[in-house]
Amino acid sequence: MAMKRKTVEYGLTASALIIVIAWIALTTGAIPLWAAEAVFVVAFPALVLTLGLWWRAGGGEEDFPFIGY
Amino acid sequence: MLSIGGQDLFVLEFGDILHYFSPYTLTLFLLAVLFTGLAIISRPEEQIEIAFGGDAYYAKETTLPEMRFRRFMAIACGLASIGAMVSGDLFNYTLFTSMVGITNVGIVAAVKNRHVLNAAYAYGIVAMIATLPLFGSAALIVATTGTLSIPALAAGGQAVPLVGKALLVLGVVGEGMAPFYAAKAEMFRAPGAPYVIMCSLSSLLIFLRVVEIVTTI
Amino acid sequence: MIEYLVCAAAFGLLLLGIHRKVIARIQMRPGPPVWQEILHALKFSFKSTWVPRTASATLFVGIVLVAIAIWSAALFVVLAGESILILIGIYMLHKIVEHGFGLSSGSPYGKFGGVRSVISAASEIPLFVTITAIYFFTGSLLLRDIVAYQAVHGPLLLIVPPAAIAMYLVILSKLPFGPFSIVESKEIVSGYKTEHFGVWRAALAVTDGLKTFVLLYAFVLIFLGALPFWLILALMTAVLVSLSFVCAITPVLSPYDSVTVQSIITGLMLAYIGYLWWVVP
Repeated sequence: MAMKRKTVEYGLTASALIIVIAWIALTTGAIPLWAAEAVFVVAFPALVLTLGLWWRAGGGEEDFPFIGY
Repeated sequence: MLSIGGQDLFVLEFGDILHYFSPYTLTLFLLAVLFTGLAIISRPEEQIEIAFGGDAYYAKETTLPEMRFRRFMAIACGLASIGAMVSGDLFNYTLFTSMVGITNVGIVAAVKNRHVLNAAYAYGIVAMIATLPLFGSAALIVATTGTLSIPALAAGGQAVPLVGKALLVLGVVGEGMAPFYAAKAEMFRAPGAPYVIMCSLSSLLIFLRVVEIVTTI
Repeated sequence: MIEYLVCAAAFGLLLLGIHRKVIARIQMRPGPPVWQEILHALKFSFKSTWVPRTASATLFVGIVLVAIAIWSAALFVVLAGESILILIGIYMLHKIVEHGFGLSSGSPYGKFGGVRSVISAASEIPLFVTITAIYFFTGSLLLRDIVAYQAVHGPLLLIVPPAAIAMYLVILSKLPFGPFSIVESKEIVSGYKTEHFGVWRAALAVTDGLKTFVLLYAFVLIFLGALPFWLILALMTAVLVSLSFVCAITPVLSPYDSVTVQSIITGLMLAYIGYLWWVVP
């Protein structure tokens, strides 16, 4: 069950954006610390997974590897 | 109120019965909600079983009616744990805890496998016996102090008998943890990870909550 | 805050690498380089990844997210000086996560790892005994109050040494290659980790790094109090090396022996609490 590169890219961008926004909001004092932490707790796992998946995600043009005769 | 799990964040009142959220109970509450959600949206896995003494293996299928019933029981179990996590009333807590015991039996009892059914039976016996110390403790505490509200008990004034606390812990261990030692290995012959996990999770959560309760009151 | 998460995970993985290195040197093997665990995490994240056909896909992936999330939360709880009861709740929740990892794939090896994880719930009860012993003295379970108490009365390590030993054993039972690490011992391949390969395994490595960091950091804070940050890191490494010595010279116990030993420790700790309750006014 391979994931599409596009889907993974959306997930990666979304989680990275959320983290960056929360981080900026925290440093400028727009949101309290606990709110930023709650956002990180939710978005960081997603970032780790999508980053790993994104590195290897295929663009749909791969060939089957040679598996022997 | 004594802040053993952190300062109270907010209190939800229903007349004189209240639900309070401290950082601790909120964490447990969120975890109960999360795993209930997982039980709702996950399909059961196909457990691979190896035939003893050979190389053969087969995948167990979960039939649709069985899955529906077990999902229902898992959700009921999740709701009972959610209730037990935030309840600020000792009797409500014991009630939710006993419901966790019953639904745990229900989750595995729908599986048509002799070993699993035996395990569910053993679980049921232990859980049923444990209701005696469980409700007994609530009765003891209300008889000596005149209240079952955890914040009221925590405020002090009334000495909660040590035997009441001990019986409460015994009851909760009997509803959740002890049956695992009687029935655990056989219970996991049942496929359906999202539902079986609710058994372990709910037992753990009620135990974590009772630690907070007995140290608070 | 995000930088704390990344640094904690990397330092935790480095600690696990040191753990492997020390064990190897004691057993007179060259051992892997100390950054091996970090390389492992990167390596797994580059491998091709899918979900096994028999697995419960949502749970299989969801539990990985939950694993990282709970230990990220644990790190924030420790950094904010909140109640250690939350930390211990998360520690026990890790059991359910291991259980979920093991059961969600449908593999018998994973299942055995998961079942062993829940069976060894006895290993967690010393933790509650630890916090009860601390509570007798500090009158609070908030980490900042415990640190403040130690600033006045000296480290808790000297006041309640049995509680420190209990928590030390609890950390030991979560380390790889230890006498109690039955959940991932090799006769069941890799236990609960068996079926989580590729990116799932890389995420599991991040979890392990965070978990190691949080547990050791909390141990130093709870029993030695507030110290300069570099000293805390050095002490964490020292505690870990001492744990590595234990892991290097003890065999993995059989599951029943492991549970028995942990239950005996729990019994001793309960007796200690009874003694404290009797003595401390």
